[in-house]
Amino acid sequence: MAHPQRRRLLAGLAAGTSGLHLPTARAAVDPKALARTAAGKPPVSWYESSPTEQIDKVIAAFNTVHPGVRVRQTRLIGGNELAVRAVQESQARGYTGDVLTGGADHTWQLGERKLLEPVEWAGLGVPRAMTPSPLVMATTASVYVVLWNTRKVSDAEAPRTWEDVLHPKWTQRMGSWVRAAAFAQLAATIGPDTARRQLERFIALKPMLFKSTFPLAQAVGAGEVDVGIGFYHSTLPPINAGAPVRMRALDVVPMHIIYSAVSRGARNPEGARLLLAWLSTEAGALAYEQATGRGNPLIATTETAKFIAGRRVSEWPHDKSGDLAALNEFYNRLLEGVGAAR
Amino acid sequence: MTTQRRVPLLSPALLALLVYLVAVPLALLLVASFKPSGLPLDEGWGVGHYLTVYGDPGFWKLLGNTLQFAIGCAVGALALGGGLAWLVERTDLPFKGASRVMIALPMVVPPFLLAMGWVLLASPRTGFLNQIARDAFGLASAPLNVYSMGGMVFVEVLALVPSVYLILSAAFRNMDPALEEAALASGARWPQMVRRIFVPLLAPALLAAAAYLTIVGFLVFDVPGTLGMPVGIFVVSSRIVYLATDQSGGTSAYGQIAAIAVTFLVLLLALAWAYRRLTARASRFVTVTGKGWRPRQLALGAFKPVAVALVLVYFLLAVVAPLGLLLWTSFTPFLAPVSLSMVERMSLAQHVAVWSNPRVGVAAWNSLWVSVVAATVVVAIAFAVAWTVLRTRQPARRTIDVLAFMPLAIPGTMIGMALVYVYLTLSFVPVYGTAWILVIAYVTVYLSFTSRTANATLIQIHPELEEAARTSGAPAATTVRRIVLPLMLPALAGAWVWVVAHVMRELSTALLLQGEDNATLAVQLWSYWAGGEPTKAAAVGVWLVVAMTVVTVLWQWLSNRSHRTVHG
Repeated sequence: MAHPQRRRLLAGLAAGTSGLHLPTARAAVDPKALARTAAGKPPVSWYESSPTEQIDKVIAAFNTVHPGVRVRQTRLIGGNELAVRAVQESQARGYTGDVLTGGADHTWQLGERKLLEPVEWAGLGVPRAMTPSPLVMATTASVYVVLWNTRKVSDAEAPRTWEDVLHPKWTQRMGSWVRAAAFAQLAATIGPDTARRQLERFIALKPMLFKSTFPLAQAVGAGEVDVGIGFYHSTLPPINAGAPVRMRALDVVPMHIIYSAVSRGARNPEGARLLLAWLSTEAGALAYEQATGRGNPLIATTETAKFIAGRRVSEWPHDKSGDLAALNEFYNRLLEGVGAAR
Repeated sequence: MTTQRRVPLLSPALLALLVYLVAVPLALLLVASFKPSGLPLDEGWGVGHYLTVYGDPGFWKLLGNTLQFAIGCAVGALALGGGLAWLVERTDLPFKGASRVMIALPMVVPPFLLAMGWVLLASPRTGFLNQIARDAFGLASAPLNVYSMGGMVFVEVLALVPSVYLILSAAFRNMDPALEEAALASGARWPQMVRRIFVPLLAPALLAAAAYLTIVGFLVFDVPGTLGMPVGIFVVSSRIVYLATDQSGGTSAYGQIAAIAVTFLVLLLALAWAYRRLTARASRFVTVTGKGWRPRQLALGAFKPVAVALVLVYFLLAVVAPLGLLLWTSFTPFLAPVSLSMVERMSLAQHVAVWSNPRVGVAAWNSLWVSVVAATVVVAIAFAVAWTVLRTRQPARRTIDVLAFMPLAIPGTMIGMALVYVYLTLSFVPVYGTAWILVIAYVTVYLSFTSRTANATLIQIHPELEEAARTSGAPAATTVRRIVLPLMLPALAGAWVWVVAHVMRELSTALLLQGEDNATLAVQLWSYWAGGEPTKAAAVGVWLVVAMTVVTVLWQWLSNRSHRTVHG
């Protein structure tokens, strides 16, 4: 698994999660000049999958700093649809959304198709650890957690390690996303064979499978399942609404970094770069996290970074997205075997 | 049958419209199935997607599950929907207007909310009904389990009954009672009459309903996704959704989806062929003639309370119970089973939050006008299709018939993908990213159902009525306006309401065609759901049902007026 970029990213994560502020590159580009140019162009078109009401708040926060730069979100339902839409639009009319936000495999796919514009991130003041390549910048992350219903499981009993998660006492009490992506990311640290054995033990628990981690978190709150493996941001809504749900990070935290990129042929590239530069700041990251629940683990003051502080994180590097895809497909098929396990 | 000369341009114009609406997405779907990336404008050709899909033993297992599900749904919905249609249209069942509303209303409840309602009712762990049963009878285990194939079929049948009812009720309504009276006078028993009269006369409508149900059973995801997936019961639609949204590698696997959809196309072509063979001699199904008649109303006698109870039980299971749970959820701060401890936490906060969100108002307006325009256009096209196919001898009429049937086999995601390409390319038609692209999509998507409904209704009306009008010197337009339309109006109005309701709740195409400002109420509802706010989603669902209740009651009122006008 040794890989320079992965090591760099994980080193960056470690720095971020241990409460240190990342070194910020000195901005070589004048943000005011960039904002003036951006203000005279069409609104920055941002392809992002969060609910529109949430992104409205992010844009409002951005406009407090750059009031003249208009941003419009097009909500696409997920990374795959975002990537396909970007490809279709680029093929048919030569441009797509100015800013594209998606997972590693989506931005990797778009990069392979030469649809992303290289950006000199350092010149924009973006910390180096957030930019594994000139094409993408880390904006947020989906962080895996264990969550439990406090009326069914005491805090002391709730799992703290993956070994606890796999204990047979959770048989038919466990819930999971229908995708085995947690184990695929875990494989970056513990190796694909060990991760596969862990997944097989997980499947033996006969977990209930959910299309997304949001209904999973709600099901835990409703007592439909006692314990689940979900995401930090999707567990927040029931907790914030007062449901009997708690969560914690496990000893190794699988994670998917969410990246943003400027598209090739963007109609407002200056506005796009300005938006991304702002999202890389503490103010931008906090505004994003407050609105969507997704925080940037590379910025120490976000709740997400605090949540996983001191934990080992596990994620495949951006340029290994092709290998990760194959692993995901294989593990997903195994998890679908839950029907047979029942 | 000399309409050919009177409207010479109808058939070519209709054919051109259908080629534009249906053949273009179909062609893109086929091209996608042979492209390595699944995107029609990418380079390369191959059959890799077919080998991947059909060479996978897992796919055949999915197909087995799907067949069980689809056949169970088709049989259940045909039996229940047909029985209810017969009760309402051919017996002296009391409160018919109310019954029609009660049977049609479930079509407005988004199926995933219906499924969610049934989870809260019949989940083994937290289901309300199971709690009651355990407390009342001291049972050790839950008697009901909605997370099962049986549960999936049960909930989907509840959702499909209104569609069957709408197809069959017009056919029942237009049946000439003389045939039944003759059979009864000849000493025929009820089973004989059903077999020898009802089934043959209703064959076009029954086959149309069966074809619709079978394909829907293959494509629908909401109920299998909510009730089957949690316990590992996967169907073909689960695979399609996976390939569209979760497939690893960075893009949707449109190539494989298209290769799967080809199976549906073949199945649908077979059904269309069977339908054409069955209806080749259209005169066999004519029941509305120039003779004055009123539909026979069978006296239910002592069975009347049982019949009323059946309608009420359906309404209870399909609307009252799940909607009650939906209402409960819309008053709670988070998704929670029914319990006394939650009562004190109930409030109107979710409803206030929903109505305070300006985007909800915009989405509601989009849903309203898109559904009304799409329903009006698609019903008009469906009428033109039925007229051309059954009343003219235009050489293209068979092609028109098949083209109008085809959209049913195209998954919503593929329609969305195709329309994105079409309107990005036809940039002089500025609909990309607007709500108008949704209108076009829905006209295409719902053409199958409406054209089958119009076809099944027109086939029962004898051309002698139109011939008499023409003999009296009435132009074709007057004949259609004064004779054909009034006779078909209840069925067309039913189809219109059906389309409005389905557009209001449709999600997969609306999500794929989202632009900056064209979100619909269903998208807003999904947005709440997917954003971890099911209680707000429930609040939107409740108001959606309220709005559609008004539309359904209005439809019934208009339908009754039209019925009185036609039959005196």
